[in-house]
Amino acid sequence: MVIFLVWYLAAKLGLWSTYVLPSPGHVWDAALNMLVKGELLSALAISFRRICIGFGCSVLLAFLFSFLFVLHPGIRTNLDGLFNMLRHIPPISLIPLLILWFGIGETPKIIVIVMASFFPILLNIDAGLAGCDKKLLEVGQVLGFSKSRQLQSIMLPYALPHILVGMRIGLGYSLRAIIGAEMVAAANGLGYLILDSQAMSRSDKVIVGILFIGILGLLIDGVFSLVIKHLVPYSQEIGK
Amino acid sequence: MSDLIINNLTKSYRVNNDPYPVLKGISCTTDCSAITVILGKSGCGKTTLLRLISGLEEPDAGTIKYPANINIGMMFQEARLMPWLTCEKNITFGLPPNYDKEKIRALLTTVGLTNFAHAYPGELSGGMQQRTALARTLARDSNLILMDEPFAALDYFTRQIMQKEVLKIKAASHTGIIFVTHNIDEALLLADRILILKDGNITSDITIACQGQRDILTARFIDLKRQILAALQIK
Ligand SMILES: Nc1ncnc2c1ncn2[C@@H]1O[C@H](COP(=O)(O)OP(=O)(O)O)[C@@H](O)[C@H]1O
Ligand SMILES: [Mg+2]
Repeated sequence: MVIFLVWYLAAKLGLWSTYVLPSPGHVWDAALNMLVKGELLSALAISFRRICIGFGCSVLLAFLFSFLFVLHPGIRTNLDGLFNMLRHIPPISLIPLLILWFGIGETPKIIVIVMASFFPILLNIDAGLAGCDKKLLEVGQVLGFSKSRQLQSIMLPYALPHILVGMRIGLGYSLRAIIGAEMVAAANGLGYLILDSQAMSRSDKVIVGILFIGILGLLIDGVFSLVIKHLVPYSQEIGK
Repeated sequence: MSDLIINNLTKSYRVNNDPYPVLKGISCTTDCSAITVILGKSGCGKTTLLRLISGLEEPDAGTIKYPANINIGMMFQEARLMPWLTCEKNITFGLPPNYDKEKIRALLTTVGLTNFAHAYPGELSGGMQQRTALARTLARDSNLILMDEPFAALDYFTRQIMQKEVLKIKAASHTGIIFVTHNIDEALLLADRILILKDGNITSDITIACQGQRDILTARFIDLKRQILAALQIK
């Protein structure tokens, strides 16, 4: 609110030119205009779709690998070094190579999202599974559970809060990564919208784009915390 | 034939990198259709012995020979409920999907948790959690149940109810029970046979032949209690 007021006053007093700092009213008009013309929603939809696909792939891959790690510890030992290195590579830095390999279609963008969100999800699932209460695992052991049954009936539900936190973080990273990727190599989406508006000297539209990224983030996160609340009614219970 | 034969069982843990012997060559034969109570002071290795029998722990040496078709159930010292499952779902945990619903309903009544069937463990008191754990153990058709001080955390009255329940189960199904406790009165009330565990060995073996209701305040049981106290060397 304070920021908004300062912004309003600064624009009103004409401290900077309207090109550098358009007034809130100006931005509001631009937003309405963009909404009516549909460019905002279509950009939003495109970015959102990329996030869904990329994030979905990340989640699937992260589950796959963490299950493999639990069921076959040897695989973990073999992949640990590689994963630790890949984890530190900023996904955006891959874009030149990805464009070279896959062109400028959807594939590079999806891969960038996967690179950004896979590791936080994997690390959280893995930590959640590894942190499972040994005493509860013994309950399964006495019941004669196999390793995979242990995983399914005890480790996974136990780790669920952890897993959801990891997915939430991964989702946040996905959003950042796709905006970045769209600013570097895309012809549509929110990131492109911002860069394109800048090229056309429409700083009001740039601000609209930025605000909408924030709103998209809030929305995704809000939906996700609802899901968490719904899925984990016992969450206070674990980790006590 | 329905005997569990333990032969020269030894187990030591490593404490500060030194081996710390807990069980020093235990041998005994227990009837798997009776209630055998293992009695001993805390820290004497009772839990360790049960964990060896259940297969959760490997012995350093010695063997355990199980009767054919043994199906072991275990009730731990703590309730160990799955926090994400309701009381009822905890009881049916690990059962095949076609389990006997009527039986579970009856079990809930037995342990007095019918009204809490849909409560999560976090919403249950310690005693109620322990009762849920008892019901979980009874829900499967084990023919040998290992119980590790299952009622130690319960109040006097709840404990009495649970002890009666154990006797009822045994009378009804001839399920064998190996019951670990440090409570002499509990041992006297439940046991067909009491094994006293001390310094890593079974030092006394007391058989109590007694049909029907027991009154542990009668001369016979008070006498037995003296005998046990002497065996444990508690004045
Ligand atoms: N995992 C372990 N590591 C090291 N020492 C242990 C372990 N488990 C039990 N002990 C020790 O073994 C002894 C017997 O333990 P336990 O069988 O739990 O006794 P009880 O159940 O009779 O109280 C205790 O002194 C305990 O400290
Ligand atoms: Mg113990």
